[in-house]
Amino acid sequence: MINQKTALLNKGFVLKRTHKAIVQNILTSFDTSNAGTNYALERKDENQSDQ
Amino acid sequence: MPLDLFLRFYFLNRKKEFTAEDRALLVDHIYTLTRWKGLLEFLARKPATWANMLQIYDKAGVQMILKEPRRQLLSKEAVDENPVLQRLERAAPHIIVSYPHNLFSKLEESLKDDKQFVRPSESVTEAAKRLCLIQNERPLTTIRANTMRTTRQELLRTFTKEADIWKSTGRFTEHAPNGIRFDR
Repeated sequence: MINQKTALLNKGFVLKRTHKAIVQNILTSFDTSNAGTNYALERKDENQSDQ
Repeated sequence: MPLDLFLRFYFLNRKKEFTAEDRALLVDHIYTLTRWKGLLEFLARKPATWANMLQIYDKAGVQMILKEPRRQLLSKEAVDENPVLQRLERAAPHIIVSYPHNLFSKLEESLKDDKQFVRPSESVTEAAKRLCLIQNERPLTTIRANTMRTTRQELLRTFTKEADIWKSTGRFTEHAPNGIRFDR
């Protein structure tokens, strides 16, 4: 089992713990940054329709 | 902001923290996870946060399925054998191929009269699934030789000689006369 896991790790099929944390951090930051953009766009639309 | 630009800025400020190989590996996983977000949301423990989606993505077998989706997700033998895939039997077709419902419906609609793409042995939904899986495959790097300066034979030799990362992955393209496609 350990050998199989190591082989998969070497092929990039299993993420190292540090890689996993980085991937999670990047994807969460990306979602958050886009949520901000979407919110700003929605507010812009609201403001325009108010005028 | 598009994901590719976001990643460019992310790694631009952290050049010393990652090697080129690490960066390539991380980016590859990030793109795969983004392409298969719809499917992973279905399979992951709720709430479907990235942490929970990563947990299911990292389970043995799932990444390999997503690397070869056409062979794995459409094969009955593969579905029967894999505990993760078995759970997909109850899933709607657009979830299996990780597509938004309305886009999948539009594809089905547009394929209704397409006798060229839809095989006689398959339904329109099956053809739409096949198309979505092709679109969700990992794109391969393809380049074209500038024939004013070099040939594609010479260009491939340069890549093989100078960059280990491209070694033995380059093949001449089937249709384009000056193209080279890398299997990574």
